[in-house]
Amino acid sequence: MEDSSNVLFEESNSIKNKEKRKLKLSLNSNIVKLSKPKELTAQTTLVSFFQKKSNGLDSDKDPKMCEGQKKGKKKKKHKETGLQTQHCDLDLDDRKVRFSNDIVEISPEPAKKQPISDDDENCVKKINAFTFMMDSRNKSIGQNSPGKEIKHGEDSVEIVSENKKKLLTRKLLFEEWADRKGAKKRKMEYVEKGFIIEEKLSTRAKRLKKLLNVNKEDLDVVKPKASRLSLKKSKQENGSRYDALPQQTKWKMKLKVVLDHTDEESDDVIDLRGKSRKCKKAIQVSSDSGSDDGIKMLSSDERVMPKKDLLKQQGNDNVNLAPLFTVAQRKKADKVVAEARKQFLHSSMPDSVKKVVEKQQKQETPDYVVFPMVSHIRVQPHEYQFVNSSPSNLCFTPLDSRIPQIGTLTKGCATNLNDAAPMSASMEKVEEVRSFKSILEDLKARHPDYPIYRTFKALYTKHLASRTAEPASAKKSKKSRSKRKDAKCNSRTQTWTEVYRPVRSDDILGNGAAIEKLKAWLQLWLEVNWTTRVSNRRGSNSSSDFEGEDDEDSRNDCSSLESTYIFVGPCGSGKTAAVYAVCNELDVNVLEINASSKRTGKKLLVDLQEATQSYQVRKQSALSTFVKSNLISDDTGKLGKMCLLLIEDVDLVFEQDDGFLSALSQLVDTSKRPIVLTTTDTSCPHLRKFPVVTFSPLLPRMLTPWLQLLCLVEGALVAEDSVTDLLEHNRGDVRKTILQLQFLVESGREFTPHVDGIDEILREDDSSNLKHTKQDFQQLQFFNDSPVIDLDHTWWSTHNILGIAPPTRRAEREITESTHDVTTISDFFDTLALTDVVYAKFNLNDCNIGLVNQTTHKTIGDSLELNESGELYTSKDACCEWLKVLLNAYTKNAERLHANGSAAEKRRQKKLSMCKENLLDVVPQVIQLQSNAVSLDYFATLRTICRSEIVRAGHSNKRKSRFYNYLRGLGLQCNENYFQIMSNIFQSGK
Amino acid sequence: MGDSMDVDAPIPSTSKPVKEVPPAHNLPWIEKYRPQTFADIVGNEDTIKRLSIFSQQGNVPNIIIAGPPGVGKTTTILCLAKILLGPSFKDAVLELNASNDRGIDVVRNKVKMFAQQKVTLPPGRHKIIILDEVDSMTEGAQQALRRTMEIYSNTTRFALACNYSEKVIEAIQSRCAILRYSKLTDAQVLARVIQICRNENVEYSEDGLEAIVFTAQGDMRQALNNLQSTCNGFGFVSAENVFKVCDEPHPLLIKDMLLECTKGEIRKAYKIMAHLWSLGYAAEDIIKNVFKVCKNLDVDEPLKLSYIKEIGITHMKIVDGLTTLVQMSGLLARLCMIGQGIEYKS
Repeated sequence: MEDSSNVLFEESNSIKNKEKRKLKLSLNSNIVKLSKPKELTAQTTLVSFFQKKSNGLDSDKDPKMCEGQKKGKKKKKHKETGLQTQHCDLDLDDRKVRFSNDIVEISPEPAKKQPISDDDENCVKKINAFTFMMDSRNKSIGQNSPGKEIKHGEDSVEIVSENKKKLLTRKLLFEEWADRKGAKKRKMEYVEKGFIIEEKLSTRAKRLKKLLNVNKEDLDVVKPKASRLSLKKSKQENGSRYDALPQQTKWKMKLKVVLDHTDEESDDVIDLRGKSRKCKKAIQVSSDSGSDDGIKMLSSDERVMPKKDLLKQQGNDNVNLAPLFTVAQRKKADKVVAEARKQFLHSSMPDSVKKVVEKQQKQETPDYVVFPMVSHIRVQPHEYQFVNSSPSNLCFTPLDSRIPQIGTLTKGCATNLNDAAPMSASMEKVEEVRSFKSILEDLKARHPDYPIYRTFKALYTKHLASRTAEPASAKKSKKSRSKRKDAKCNSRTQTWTEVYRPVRSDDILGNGAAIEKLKAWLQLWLEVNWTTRVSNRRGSNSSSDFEGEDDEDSRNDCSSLESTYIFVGPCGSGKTAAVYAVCNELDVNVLEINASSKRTGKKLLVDLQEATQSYQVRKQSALSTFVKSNLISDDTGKLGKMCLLLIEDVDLVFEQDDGFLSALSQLVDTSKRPIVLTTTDTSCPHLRKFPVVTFSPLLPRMLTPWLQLLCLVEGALVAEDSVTDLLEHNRGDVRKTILQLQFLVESGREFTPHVDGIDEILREDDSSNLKHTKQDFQQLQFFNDSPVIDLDHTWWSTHNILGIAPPTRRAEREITESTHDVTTISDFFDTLALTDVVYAKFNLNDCNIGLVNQTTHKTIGDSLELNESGELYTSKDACCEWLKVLLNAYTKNAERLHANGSAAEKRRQKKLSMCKENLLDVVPQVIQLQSNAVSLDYFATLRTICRSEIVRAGHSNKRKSRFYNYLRGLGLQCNENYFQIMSNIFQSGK
Repeated sequence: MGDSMDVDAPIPSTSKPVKEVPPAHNLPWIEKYRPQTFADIVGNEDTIKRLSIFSQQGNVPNIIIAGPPGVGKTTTILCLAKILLGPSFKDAVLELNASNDRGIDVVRNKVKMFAQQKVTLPPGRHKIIILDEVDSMTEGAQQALRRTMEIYSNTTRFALACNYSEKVIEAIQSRCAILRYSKLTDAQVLARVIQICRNENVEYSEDGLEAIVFTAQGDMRQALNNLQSTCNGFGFVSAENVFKVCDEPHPLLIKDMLLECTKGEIRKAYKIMAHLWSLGYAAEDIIKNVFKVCKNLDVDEPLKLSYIKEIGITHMKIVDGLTTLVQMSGLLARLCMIGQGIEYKS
């Protein structure tokens, strides 16, 4: 009975072997169905089962795919056993359904299967079918159910051998049948096809690998490996199967051997499987040991396993291991492989299925996470040691107890009371001046170029004038200022800035050019004014009806002059003082509008309209001139003073002063008076239209002796260094320096200086130096126009500055002088960066950096002459000077190097200069100032024109002269040679 | 800032203000003991001596006094004005501080009108316009002031006070002599505090005064305020009471912490830091006090300097918003590394 049933089973099994593929497919589709109940029921078992299943499917899928194609044909082959097959099919289907149902009910009713497995034939069959199904999941397809034999082998070895024999005979029978049907050829085809499919598979796997690589870069290390692994596995299995199949079909003789071999192999495979599915066993073991009732679904696996393995496992049961833990590890390792496989398999799936599967996977994932977590249950606490591998001493006990008690603050523990010696009020007394003469002589010796005595005299007269009670008795040069004085003014009421303010143009320190300009301009105005006045007066004398004509006339005269100048300069450079001094000298009234008063447009117009339209402002003068006009005509003073409008700080326009600018421009347009605007800020756009006179702050070398003399006059001898320091600290701001000197000197002095020999000195006159100073001022003017930074030069000499030869030889030199170069380069770039920063910070567009201009530099010598370079003396100019020194050093070096520079370099420079010279003639003077525009737009355009001319010349002669007109209009020579130069300027290679 | 009117209120005899105990008990001590003569002003002796000479002579130029708060800028100016002008103080002084409206219009109208006003004064004396906290004036207002200062310099002088002279526009600076006041030394503060304690019959302990001086950091006003608060609150000036009033991270703790850092004991240092943190001090409070303490720490100079550098960097981070204990711990770690002479690269 048992035997027959076995035989029957074997028969059916062999058929089922084919049919199971179909089943598997259906199973595969059932995965989706299964997954849902799975979630609901015992997780661990199901997960393991599912994993197993998936493992089995995955490992078997590859061969199945190729065999799936064969399946239909093989089916035909076994038509005879159709009934059986059908039965099995049904059976299997039933089983399947039941199986899926069982899974749901596994944990609640584990005993349900027990009777089934122990029942009659049908039941056995059913169980067999179930186990077969499990096998089909676990085994590779091509093998002839070796697991069964082992299952039966557990009864007895004889039975096993009998079974084997039976199997052999049956197989032989099958082979015979197949041969009869001419299956031989087909088999051959299958084999060939199989190989082709295998190849295809491998290519596909490759593609998959690539895809994986692209899609998941993190996994690309793992996945290809996994897929390869799976491939290998499948190949192995395939190989064995394909070896077996053709051999079985081809030669009967060989078959035996092969079958023997398959036997052995099957054992091996089982062993292998046993190894690879240790997890399964583990689960079994755990289920067996963990719960007595066990999960009977796994009993099918039990049968698959050889008994010895089982025993082994049972023996292993006692070992204190966390099987679940190992399972989890296993699974983890397998997971990657499995996933790769899955992905590979799903590559051919329809999208909808894929989506479903993905969803399902998403739902699954927590289970995978949960599972290993469960496995940690039995992990011994000492396994956590890696966490505490380096036991830290940072204890988290409350800190308060360990906080040191705050002791008493002892003296000096938190403050610097101990080492703070009370600062003694150290105040250096200003040196008393006893004898002017020796001091002046000393000063004169130090500053041979400076008109010491003359200056001293002038200062002393001012000093005296400020002290004398009656200002009227002062020198006539102080006339205008003295009138402004209050009657009660005495020596102590005025600040030094007031006392020693310039009253004549000669008194003004520095900015000679600007003052000359101002003076000349005002004189011109005076002349025009005077002539018109005289003519006007005469005209009015003869007939008063022609006033209108005169008015027009005078306007014409005025319009020929610049009506407005704008004085630009920093604070304390003497803008306002210059205006007052010159006006004082030329006897011109000053009408001042400053920011201290309201300056709305309306008010400005109302206040000043009259002043700017009429010739004189003083009220009484109108009458007096009328009266005296007949008497004197040559004295301008008697004609009444001309009036100059001084508008201070035009860059300051507050919210309250709406309409100020428009009113200002209106005033300027219609004015018959000279107008001077002062500002510190050049950037105001509305001030661009006026001619600019720049005032620069004064240089310490020029001012130091003057200030020293001033202090001397005030009765204090101040060291030159301290004055210079003060000036430099104040950035050449004279006013501030004088005020500070006053503060220091007056506060340090408690006596009025009694000096002897003053008259003697006053008699002495060194006005011979006068012309000297004049000359100095001229020189200053010259230096004010020092050239702008020659960036081109710097650029082209960069090679040399860096010490790098032109590209060809660079390599050698870098090797030889690498260390040297690095430092040089870094130094150079340091400097350049510095320049850049300073440039950006101070917007040096208008600042004169005499970079390569040695003429400006050479004057900074040891001598204390006045003929220094005329740069502005501000912080930015301090920077400039400093930069200049730096850059000069570099450029000098560069020039020296340049003497033996490469020929190409020289040629290029020559070309550049040639082009520049040529073009500069063409560029209008106004535009030349804007070097950016010139080099970026103007030159470039001209060059383009020239280049196009050359190109055009090549094409046709007719249109050649198209641009010639323009170019000639600009004054360019229009010949080929010239164009050649122009166009090739930046193409040094040709 | 004290108002000038408040200064006038007590009217103490100018020579010995401290000996007079006015009946007004609630008068703040900073006003009660505001110096009335140059001799009473503590610190910056050099400048004050010079100004005192001016106060005798007259003809003081326009001045800007720049310095940190609580060093006596306003007091100096008020002293000067009072001595110069004497009885006509009220007529000849215009004081505008930040609480007054000092817009362009005020400068153009009020200030200018005052400058044009005629006030009979002895020779060599001028009207004085006091502009307190001039750096808080708008730039426009300052610009509007510039020419006024010059034109009316015969009759009117300006005395400006500010914390940062750079915030005063260059044009104004150019028209003034700038005097710079520095922070008072701890000894100066201490001397004055002791003097006042004696006057007020305040009981004090040595460490209490030390704490007052520490919390003041050269600011006399704060020192007096703290002293008065402690005195009113506890009646006895001890370090404990002072720190209760001021509620700063305790300097001794911080000192210990820094010393631990020099030894490289990060754990001990961290404990202190965590303790301070748990007390609820803000990171900025802590870092400020760390700096204060580090200034006077008894370690060798190079170490101190590199410490201060690190503290500065951390302070910067804290100002940037990284006010976490991690930052402070990081500071400690770096300090420890420096203390151990370990080079590190940030």
